[in-house]
Amino acid sequence: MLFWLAGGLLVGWSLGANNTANVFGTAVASRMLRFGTAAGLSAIFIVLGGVVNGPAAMATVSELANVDTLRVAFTSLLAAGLIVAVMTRAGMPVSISQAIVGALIGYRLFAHGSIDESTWTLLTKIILAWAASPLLAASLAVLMYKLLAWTFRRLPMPLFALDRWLRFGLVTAGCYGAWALGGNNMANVVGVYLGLDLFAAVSIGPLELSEARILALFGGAAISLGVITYSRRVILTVGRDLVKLDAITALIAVTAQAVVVDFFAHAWDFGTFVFPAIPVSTSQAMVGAVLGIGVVRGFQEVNKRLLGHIALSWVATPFAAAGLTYSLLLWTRVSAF
Amino acid sequence: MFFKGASGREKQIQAKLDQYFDALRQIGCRHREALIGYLDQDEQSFTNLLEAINALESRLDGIRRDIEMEIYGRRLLPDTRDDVLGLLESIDKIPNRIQSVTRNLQLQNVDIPSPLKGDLRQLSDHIVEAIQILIEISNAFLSKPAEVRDLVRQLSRLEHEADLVEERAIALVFDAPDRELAHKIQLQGLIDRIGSICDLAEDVGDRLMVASLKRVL
Repeated sequence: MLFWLAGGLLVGWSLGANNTANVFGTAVASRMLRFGTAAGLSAIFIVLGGVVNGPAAMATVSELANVDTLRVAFTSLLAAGLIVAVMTRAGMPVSISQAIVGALIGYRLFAHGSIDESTWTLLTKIILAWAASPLLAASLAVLMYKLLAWTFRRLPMPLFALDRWLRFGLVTAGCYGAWALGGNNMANVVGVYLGLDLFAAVSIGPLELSEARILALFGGAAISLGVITYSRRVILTVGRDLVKLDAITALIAVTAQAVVVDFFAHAWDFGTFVFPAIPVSTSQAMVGAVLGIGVVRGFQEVNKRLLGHIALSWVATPFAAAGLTYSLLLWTRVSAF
Repeated sequence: MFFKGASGREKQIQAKLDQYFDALRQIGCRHREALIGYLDQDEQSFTNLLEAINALESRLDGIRRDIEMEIYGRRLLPDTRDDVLGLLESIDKIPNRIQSVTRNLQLQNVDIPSPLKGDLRQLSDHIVEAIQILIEISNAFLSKPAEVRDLVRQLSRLEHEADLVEERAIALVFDAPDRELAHKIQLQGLIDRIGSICDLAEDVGDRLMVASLKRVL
């Protein structure tokens, strides 16, 4: 069984390696926080977020996937993982969430030849969430920026006190970002396996660990491994770019993206309209937040090349993942793998 | 604790900065007294004051190094570290210039004509005042960044007044047909160097204003 789980665990490792930079990049690259401490905090809060909040988005991925065998789950995750690896290698800002959803649509098309109406409805909500997350992060960042500017005008803070609060804020925002990442993105790692009845619920004293939470623990271990083994390199490259934004901007951006990612980790019932928990891209939310601050600060020049890359990866990632999953499943059937 | 945020160490840096500003204020005053001693041809007083200036310059270097060590030893944000180190680096040019101007007076043994003495006294008063405003700007930069802009404007006005005194003094130097050209050029150099201390103070003020604007969102 571990072999079939390996597809998800690989995605988890990749997630841990790549996404820690979004939450602790500034703190580590500015040497404010030791990498070991940041890695430890990331791992703890990602696992906690995943175990506590993860099941909601996992249920969404499971509903979309509706896979019946471990082989299919493994193949979909492997295809998504490969697409993420290839696009990362090509320097594209890739979203693991989009790769996973694309791969599962590929499976749906392979298994059923078409997508049924309920899946379309869910898919529409997922695409809406993907489009909304950078916009919401940008709006929230603008709001936070204005609020901070208003506060600073009325309560000027001495340089060293400001430094202390910013450092505290960056660590706290980092922990919250890791919690939100775990709660939202755990679905990408193990959501596909939910419903395959791999584990029975376990009771530990008053606590009962459901199948989703046991899967989240496995996923959390894989993500933590990614954080510990590979995130340092990513932090030092991505984080140094974030440092250029200055600490206040980084704090606002990390908090805004974390709030948005955390928001989408929960299902929302608006009476007639129910919005499920949806895995979104932390990187895209981060880019949205940074652009929002850029606009409010009056930076006229937006990096069109970066926006072009994001738009391209938005379209290319799900389609490529869907195509690869379809091809891999076809190949495994033909070769009776 | 995840990071070293003890306010005791911040107080230590602040105390060192206060010592630095106090020594800076003193070196400005000693410079004025040394110049007056030189103009009054009180050689003993001038020599003693030059020694005091040398000692203060060394002391300022020592305090600056202590602050730099404290700053590097702490887990400060890069912006804060750059701001404080940049402040010290740019302000440190002032005591160096004061020391070199005063030492040059002794080395060159410049003969200063009586009509020029009033303007030189006025310039040295402006220097003391400029240093005082610069210290206020630095303190505002560290605690109330919104106040930096007004103080920098005040310093700019003072520097402009110093420029006018400097121009008047140079015109006076060259408005003496029987004075040798070499002597005129020597006096002009002296006036330029004394006047440049106010220019340096203004440069530091401008730099601090730009840095403070980053913090006023």
